[in-house]
Order: sequence, then C-alpha cells, then structure tokens
Amino acid sequence: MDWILPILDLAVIEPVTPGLWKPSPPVPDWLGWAGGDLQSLGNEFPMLETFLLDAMPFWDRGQRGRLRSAIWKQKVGPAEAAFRADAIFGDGKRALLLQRIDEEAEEMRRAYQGARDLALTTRKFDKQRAQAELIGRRKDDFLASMSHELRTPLNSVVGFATLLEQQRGGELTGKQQSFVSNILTASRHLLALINEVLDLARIDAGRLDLCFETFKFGDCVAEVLAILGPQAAGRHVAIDAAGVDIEIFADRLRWKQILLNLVGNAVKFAPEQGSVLVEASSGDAVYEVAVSDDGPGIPPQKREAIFDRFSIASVHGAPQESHGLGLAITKRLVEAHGGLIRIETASMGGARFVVTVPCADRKSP
Amino acid sequence: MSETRPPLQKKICLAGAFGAGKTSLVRRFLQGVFDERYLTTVGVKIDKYSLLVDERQIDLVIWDLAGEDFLAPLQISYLRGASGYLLVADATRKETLETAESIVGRIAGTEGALPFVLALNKVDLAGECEVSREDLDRLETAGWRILRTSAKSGEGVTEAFEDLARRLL
Ligand SMILES: Nc1nc2c(ncn2[C@@H]2O[C@H](COP(=O)(O)OP(=O)(O)OP(=O)(O)O)[C@@H](O)[C@H]2O)c(=O)[nH]1
Ligand SMILES: [Mg+2]
Repeated sequence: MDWILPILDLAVIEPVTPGLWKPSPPVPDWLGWAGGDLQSLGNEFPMLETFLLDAMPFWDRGQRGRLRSAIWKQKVGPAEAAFRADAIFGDGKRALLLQRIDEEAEEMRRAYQGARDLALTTRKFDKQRAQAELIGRRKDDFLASMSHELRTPLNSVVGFATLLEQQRGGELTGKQQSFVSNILTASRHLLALINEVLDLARIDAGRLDLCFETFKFGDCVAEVLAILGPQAAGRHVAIDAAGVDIEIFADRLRWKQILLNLVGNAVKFAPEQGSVLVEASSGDAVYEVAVSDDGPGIPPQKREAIFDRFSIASVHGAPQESHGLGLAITKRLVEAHGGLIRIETASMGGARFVVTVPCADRKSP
Repeated sequence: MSETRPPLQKKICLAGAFGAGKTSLVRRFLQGVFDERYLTTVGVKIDKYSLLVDERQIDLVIWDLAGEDFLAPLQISYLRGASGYLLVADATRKETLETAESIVGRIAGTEGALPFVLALNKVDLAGECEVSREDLDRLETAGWRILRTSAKSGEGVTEAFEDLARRLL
C-alpha cells in the first residue's frame, strides 16, 4: 500500500487501528477532517455513507482490488467541487481514496451535454415539423370541404341558368337573354375556379394517386388540341406540335390536365393571329415537353411566384385574364411525376414553359 | 407549548428524465433563482437544507440525480437510505411522464414503497403542454400526489418540497 501514497495528490484515509481512520498527509484544505470513524466522514460527504454500504463488504472480502464510487458534486466551504471515492484493498490494508476531480467531471459533463442537447433539439425540430404538417393538413381539409360546399349550390345556379338560357321556362327578351348569359359566364368561371381549389387542396392533402401507364404522348396532345381548338380558332391563334410522337410512362389523365393548362394559357396569352408551339423530346433518362407562345412573356422576377397558389394575380397585361390556380396545380402534378417545370423566354418572344421528367421505372414508378 | 424535538435528518432524491428540470427546481428552492441555460448533471449533486414542517426541523440532504436517458438509466443504488423522492417530469415532453412511471416501478422493486411526489414541471410553458388531463387523472387515481411546478416562475416549487418533507415525518 505504501507504494501508492507518494503518487497520490489527494487525501488518502487509511485505518490506523481498526475503526480509527486518519487522513494521510498532507491533508488538503478542503477535507476539513482530522480523523475518526468513517461515519463522521460520512457527515461531511453524504455520498460516502451510501458508498460505504458497498465498500465495507468489499474490504471484508480481503481481496486485492479497487471499488469506485460515482461522481458527485457538493459544497466544500463556499464553493462547489466534484468528487469520487475509491475503496482500495492491498497488502492486507484498507484505504479510502477521496479524490477531487473537477476537471474530469466537467469533461464528462460536456460529453453528456452534447448528446442531450442534440436529443432535445432533434425532438423540438420533429415536433415543429409535425405541427406544421398538421396545420397544413387541416387547412387543406378545410379548403376541400369548403369548395365542396360551394360547388353544390353553384351547380344549381348554373343548372337553372342553363334552363333559362334554353328558354325552357318561357321565352326571354333580348335583354333577359344577355343577363342570363352573363350569369352563366360568371358562374361557370366561379365553378372552374372552385374545382381548381378543390383539386389543389386534394393534391396538397396528399390524396393524389398517380396511375402510371405507357401511352403515345401525341394522342394526348391531339385530345387537348381538339378541346382548345375552338378557343384558338376564335382568336386566330395557330397551334403547332413538333416531335410529340414519343411514348411515355406516366399518368395519362394528369398529363392531359398539365397540357390543357399550359396550352390553354398559351392560347389565352398569345396575341390575335399569334402562334403556340408544343414540342416534346425523349432521351434515355428524361423526357421534356415545352409549350411556347408569342405573347408578352413573363419577366424573370415573376417566374417563381407564378406557381404559388396564392398568386392568382395577373402577371400579364390582360387584367381580366389570369393563370388562376392552374399553374399551381400543374407544378404539383409535374412534381408528383418526379419532374420539374421552369419558365424561359421563347424564341418567338413570349413565354416558354418547359417540363422535364425522369423516365419512370416501369416496374416501380 | 412546543416541545423541543431533535432535528430529523432525511435524505431525499430528485429523479426523472434528463432535462426535466431537477437541478433547476433545487436551485429555485434553495436560492430562489432560475437559469435558462441547460447544464446537465453528471452523477449526483448533493445539497443540504433545513426546513420547518409542522414546527419540526428537518435537515434535508438533497440528492439531485443525473437524469435518465436512452444511454444511461437511472442508478437506483443512489436511492439507498433515502426517505423519499421528488419525481420530476417535463410537461412539454410527454415521454418524460412515461420515464417517471417506469422509475417509480423500478424504485419500488428495489427500495420498497418510498414516499414520492411528482413535480410536473415547466407549467409556465402552457402552450407547449403535452401531458393530458386523462394521464394525470389516471396517476392520481393510482394514488400519486402530483404538483404542477415551474422552476422558472417559482410556481409550486416550495409546495412540492414541503409536501414531500411532510410525507417523511
Ligand atoms: N420554461 C421552463 N424551463 C425550465 C424549467 N425548469 C427547467 N427549465 C429548463 O430546462 C432545462 C433543463 O433544466 P435542468 O434543471 O438542468 O434539468 P435536469 O432535470 O436537472 O437535467 P439533467 O441534469 O440533465 O437530468 C434548462 O434549460 C432549464 O432552464 C421550467 O420550469 N420552465
Ligand atoms: Mg440536473
């Protein structure tokens, strides 16, 4: 045992006679104990009381070795200090080592602190995200049910106005006919808008299930042009298609919706006698679809906001015409396919919407 | 007509999940201050404090134990010789109440039925509370004494320690 004393820079208390313990010199200031039984030391250091419950039987076994206590902090005088105790047995002697370990304890504390701070921060972050998702979902549910509520009465407005227009309820004067036609135009517009809100809310609420199939993109373009034909012809806008006879693996109905929106906008914003071009191309990894017009175009600083569902305002010159929610929906549909949509300036001067989509894996889309 | 009885010395422990506010509750109780910073406890921090309960002096030896987390479970052996414990849960983290329940079970398993009081702490953060009325009702029905505390505002802190001290008499 004696060999260990010189290399200890701390208080060692060893039994002088059985039951009488004494600090081994030099006695540090903080110890404040001149000797006696171990219980009296326990009054100063409550941790020792508990530790001795294990230390006593350890010493009594009489086997060479060491038993270590946990770290504790307590006041010594006015200041707080960290301690650790060791019960030691060797050369037939018992010793109790009381060590001040302020630095070691602080190092250990810092290690724990790092892990716990991280755990708390992660938790906080997860909670905020979950809350944001919940609020978003509630909002979408609200929009969905609200739109549904609005649609029902509006359908009957459109229905009865249509009956009036068809003069089912009796003949109308010229003035009455024009009033009814105004009612119909406005309520159909409103209905279309509500359908868009509903669609958007459904998509945002995560209720968009894509149904993938392989189809000829050209067929889809032809269907869309058939629908928009009259509108384009009315304004003498020419629609051309180039390279559209590719095959793609995607949701056909949703692609029709994307095209209806993009080509519909192009027709709307092209000038009288203007032109619209639908192009497609397909590579190994991606296929690309672009719709251009020769209208006023979209300035770069407005290109981002135009896909925002809250930016219904017109970015073009024509005040009564807007992109509505269509572009917000289009963007989400493109993204649901794993693709991206961007706006460029068309070589013919107007806007050019370019959709790039990775070729989906046909087995697991 | 008060007879003079010798002071009682009692060891009590604070136990619960990490970061629930054990150290902050002790600080508020002993020094009347609060710190927003989180300095985790390693091992044990021991303080002494004397208080009068029903005209009887009790010398408390307060063991503020390191909180439990997924890496380090509570060392039940610290509770040896304790007369009771203040169980601390964080009202803004539901899982700390589960930790508290599990601790009660483990302590009862080794130390027997020690008196304890649950401090449901951080009640100043009312908007972030995650503990439901039903949870508390269930525990109270099971005989738990629950006090709502805030080391930050001081609410319920003295009451919690005194309530526990009274149970030690
Ligand atoms: N708002 C608020 N914060 C509190 C309250 N009590 C503690 N805190 C904060 O919670 C964090 C953890 O407090 P501590 O007292 O260190 O928690 P502990 O239970 O001792 O933690 P461990 O020692 O790691 O087990 C600190 O940032 C405190 O400032 C409270 O009542 N209200
Ligand atoms: Mg602590």
